[in-house]
Amino acid sequence: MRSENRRIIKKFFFNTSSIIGFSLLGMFIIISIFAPWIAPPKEGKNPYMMPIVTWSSNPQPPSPEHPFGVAGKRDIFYGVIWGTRTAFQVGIIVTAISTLIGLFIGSVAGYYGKFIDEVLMRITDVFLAIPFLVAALVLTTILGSGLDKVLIAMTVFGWMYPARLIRGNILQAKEEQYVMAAKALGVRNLFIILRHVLPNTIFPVLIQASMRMGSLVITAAALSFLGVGSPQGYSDWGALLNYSRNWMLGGQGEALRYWYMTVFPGVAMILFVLSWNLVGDALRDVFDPRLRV
Amino acid sequence: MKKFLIFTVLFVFILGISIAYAEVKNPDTYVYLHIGEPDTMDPGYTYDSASGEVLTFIFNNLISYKGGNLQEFVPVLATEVPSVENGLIKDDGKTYIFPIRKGVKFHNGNELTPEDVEYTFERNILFDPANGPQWMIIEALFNYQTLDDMVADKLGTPLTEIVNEDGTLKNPDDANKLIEFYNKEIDPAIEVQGDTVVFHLVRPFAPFLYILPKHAYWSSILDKETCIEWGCWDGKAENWWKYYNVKKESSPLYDKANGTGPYKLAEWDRTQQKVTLERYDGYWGEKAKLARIIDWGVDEWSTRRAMLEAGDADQIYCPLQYLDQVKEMKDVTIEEGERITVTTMHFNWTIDKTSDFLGSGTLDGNGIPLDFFSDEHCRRAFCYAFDYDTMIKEVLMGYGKRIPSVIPSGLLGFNTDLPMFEFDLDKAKEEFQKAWDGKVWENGFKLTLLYNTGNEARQTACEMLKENIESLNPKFKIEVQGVQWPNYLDAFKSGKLPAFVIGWIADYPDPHNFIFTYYHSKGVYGGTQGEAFLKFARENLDKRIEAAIAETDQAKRQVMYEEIQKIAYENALGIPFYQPGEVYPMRNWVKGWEFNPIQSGEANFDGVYKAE
Amino acid sequence: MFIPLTLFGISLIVFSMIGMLSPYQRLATFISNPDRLKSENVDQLIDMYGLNDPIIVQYVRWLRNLFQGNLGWSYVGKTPVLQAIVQRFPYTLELTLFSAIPIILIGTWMGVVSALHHNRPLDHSLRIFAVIGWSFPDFVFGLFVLMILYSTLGLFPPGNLSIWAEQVVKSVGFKSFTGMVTIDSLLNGRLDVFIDSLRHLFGPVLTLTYVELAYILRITRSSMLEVLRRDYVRTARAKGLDEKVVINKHAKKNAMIPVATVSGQTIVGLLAGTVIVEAIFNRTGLGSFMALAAQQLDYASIMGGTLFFGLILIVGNLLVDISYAYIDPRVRLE
Repeated sequence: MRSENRRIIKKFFFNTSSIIGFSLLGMFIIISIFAPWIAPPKEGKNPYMMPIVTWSSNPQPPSPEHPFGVAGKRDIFYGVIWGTRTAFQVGIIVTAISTLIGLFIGSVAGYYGKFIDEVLMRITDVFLAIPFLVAALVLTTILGSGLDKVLIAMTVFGWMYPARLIRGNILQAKEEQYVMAAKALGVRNLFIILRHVLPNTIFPVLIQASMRMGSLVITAAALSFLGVGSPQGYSDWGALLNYSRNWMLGGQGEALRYWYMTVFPGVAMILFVLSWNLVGDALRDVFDPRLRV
Repeated sequence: MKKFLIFTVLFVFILGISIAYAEVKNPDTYVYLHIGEPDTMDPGYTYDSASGEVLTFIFNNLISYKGGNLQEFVPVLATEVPSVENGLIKDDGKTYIFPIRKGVKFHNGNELTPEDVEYTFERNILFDPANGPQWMIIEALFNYQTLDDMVADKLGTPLTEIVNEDGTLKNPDDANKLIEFYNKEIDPAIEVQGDTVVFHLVRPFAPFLYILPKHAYWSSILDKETCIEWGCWDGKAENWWKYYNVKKESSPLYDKANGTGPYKLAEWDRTQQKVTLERYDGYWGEKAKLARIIDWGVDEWSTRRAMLEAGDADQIYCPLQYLDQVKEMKDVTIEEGERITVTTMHFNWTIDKTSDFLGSGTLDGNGIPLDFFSDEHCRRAFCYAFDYDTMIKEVLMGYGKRIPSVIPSGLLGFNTDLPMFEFDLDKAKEEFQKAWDGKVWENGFKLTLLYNTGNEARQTACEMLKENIESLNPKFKIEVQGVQWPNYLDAFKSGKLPAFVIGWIADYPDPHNFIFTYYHSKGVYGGTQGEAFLKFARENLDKRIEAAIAETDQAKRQVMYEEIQKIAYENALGIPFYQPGEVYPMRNWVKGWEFNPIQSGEANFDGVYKAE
Repeated sequence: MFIPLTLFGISLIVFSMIGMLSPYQRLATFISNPDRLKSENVDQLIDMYGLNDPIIVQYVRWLRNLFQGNLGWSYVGKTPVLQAIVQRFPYTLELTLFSAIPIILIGTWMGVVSALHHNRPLDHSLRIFAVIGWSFPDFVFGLFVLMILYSTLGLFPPGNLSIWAEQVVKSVGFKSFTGMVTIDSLLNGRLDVFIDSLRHLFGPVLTLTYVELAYILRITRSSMLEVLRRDYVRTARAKGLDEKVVINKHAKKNAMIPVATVSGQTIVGLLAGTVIVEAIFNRTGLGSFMALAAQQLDYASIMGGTLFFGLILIVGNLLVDISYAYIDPRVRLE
């Protein structure tokens, strides 16, 4: 056992990619926790709303009072810092809830098989066949504006992926010897699922979840592009990038005049997604038995 | 490795050919980029600037403004502009006579006759599509807001209850009544007499000539034969009701147009939101200089801007906040203009009780009662809390103007000497302290201001109000929320918004168009200000507004509209935010472009051509 | 088959979402922005279009029309829904096909190289290069591409075609076989139009390619890594076969099996996911049409469009599954 642990630790921490991944993730976690000190919010106001610092819509380049510049009347630095919290919230909430729903549906479908499986998979197919952006747009119009409604939309149309994954894994696991043995011994179904099947099939789901943490942030940004997404002025990298889209081509002659509007939130987003990808890769390299030499 | 080489070679190949094709200029084509797309090509239905922009050059009207001068007319399809002096306006302003020009051809070769003019107006009146522009003609001629109302009054039942959705009658016996209605009321109102067309109004209507000229695209003259051939009303009294309120997409004129204008409709590509107009060489007047006009909806600002820079577009629509990006662009000129439009905030005196924006619903610091704004002190406090000058200077980049009430500059009734609110936080504080017997100041309040996402100026206006008002008292809480248009429309029409930012673009250059809209109980915005306001309007404003429109003496009307605006000021009926200006970036090679304050959209293809 | 049932399910879900909207919200289809709100009485519009009828009634009405082959009128497209879809689909298909080729080719090539240099600098840099593309919201990269290729270089304009090329395509002599300009122009023998449409495709294809190839790279890499550890590879090496032959003949072929599946899924996914790229490069396609329809709550377009997409996705996935069975001999035995 001990050498197994040592092997895991070695693979985890001495691999270049995973070192980069974990350190980036660590950095984001620290920024997230210390946001109120790094970018203090105004008293009495919602800390997630970027403070308005000017009335003119013209962006301003970085300066001592506004280290990342000003865009859309608001301070970009504040938005990037608090946006870290938003990114984690969006990722964690949607991933957690949709994974739970997916786990439940996938397990039931995979384990009981036959008719239940057919019905549940049909329903999953239906949801998968609806173009996500369209569905999210319509759903958020119904539910109203606000980040929580966006999260609901992303969850309602996001549980299918973990569901299919877990179902596939369970179907595979069902054929395994130890499960058949447990069944033969008369162990109750639920017990089998919880105690034997799930733990062995959970890792791909975790890996997928870690990848989704990153991609969800991008999806949220795409929704901002389409006009839904977090409310105006909310600290959200996607919203910041969406605002920058109308200034990206720069001023007359200088194409990169408004670089700061894209670079700061853009780099934050890339690094965030990159870190989750690398972490997911590291997890997979360690836990995926198929890659073990 | 091999694959990489293949890819590189392909890339260089494409690059090479691209460079060869890189310089493609369109010297006889004008490319204009804007947002959105035309609604329809049917002038009877059109009520949006994107369609109007295009129809203005496909069709002609009876008369036109003299250039940008909105007080003077020139004849177009008429040979003379009716006036009291030349005897073509008679009966104290109840009769208008238009002699019709000869030798004018439609795009398909048909000749213009007075019957075409008669048909055009009668067909449009009988059409009267919902949410359409024909109310202006109907109001002018008959003093009703809709054909439905008119039928209700004359026959006792509204037209919508006599006729089914598909044009059949609920009761076949009604056919005779409707035929009689047409023969008695509609037909005689517009008559052909020799070479002239005569309009008979039921009472004098001072702005009548203003709803007819070019840029009033709902008065574009159609060709009777073509319309009948394409499936419109056949001109007869029998079955006219089949053509009433036909759905927009079912109208035969939806995607086809046959006009007498300098351009003909070559193509409406609805996949690309592009309209192509081609010069009509049989035009009776001065031929257009450009062979082709491409009127294209490109919604993404960066794309429009890139195309202007590259010369692939000649003129683009530029929202004010992006002005800095084009201001010093090489080979680009920025024209300016002030359209006849205002942006204001008005209040809902009786908010719908199911509204989500009431908070707790009482003055306990966590909400507002639904009649919050029925107290003039609340309204006046808001009026003092808005920083008008900063708005114009910072947000509109100086392209805006103060207005005393809802009448914009350039119109009768506008007067900078009228009392105006100034940004004064002390006075705002005083008013809040007086509001609701001091309860507002003591307990505070919380309300939500909504704005429609996409308009930055309106968003900033709400944010400014929020900051200023919240600075007066920590118990004042205003939430500013941006919502998509469908949700805004819903909240607005169902009376759930406590206050709303709304603008109005002139249909025709007369103050009646604005005053009626905002302050008459039957106006588009009058009705959305709550029951309590409707009562106020009926008691204090309706009669004045109706009198002002019936008066024909301009000097007297000026005084009457000033009185109405004073009432608006004294009762703090609304916050007149600004009259916005506009900028029109275009390439240097565009010549002959002239601004006209009443034009739809930003395009003006009259006399425009391209030269170095 | 389950296809009609799934489609029915899709229509039910989408319609029930639309049904939750209030009549005034639905009115936005007909009054699409504040400047079009001109009348006090908009309730007449609500009656005309039956927006106040109970949801079931509206749904049944839609179903009835559907069975008569009528998908309704698209207010966003300003033509009947079916026509709107048919006109726009070729552009999306064209973009998808022209992007799929580089995505798959470059993605697999990079994946193989990465696997062969496992955990060495080349592996890491390729992976990071790809993941950066995947971490970027596509609109940011797209605008960046537009800026470089069009604003700075002036070579690759947005839009479908140049004005002169469009006139050629719309002229009477030009026969439209597939609706895709690139293929049609070759079939019509117009090389100049072909090149012009390639020019206009370059920007969006570049954007989509960079953003999507990370996934193919990852799958190829892990699949290749797995295969390289397999017994038969070790055997081939032990037999003394040239390394190149080992890789090309044995390893790659087997590694491609999961890649084929994923490629199929990527293509199918691309079909539905071109919204943003279409908006930035001003290309008319089904993606931007659907986004606009959703924003304006044009239910006929939304319903027709989702059914269409659903059909494509289902059929596409079916084809992928079938080809997977065909390619992977192990599956065939089941």
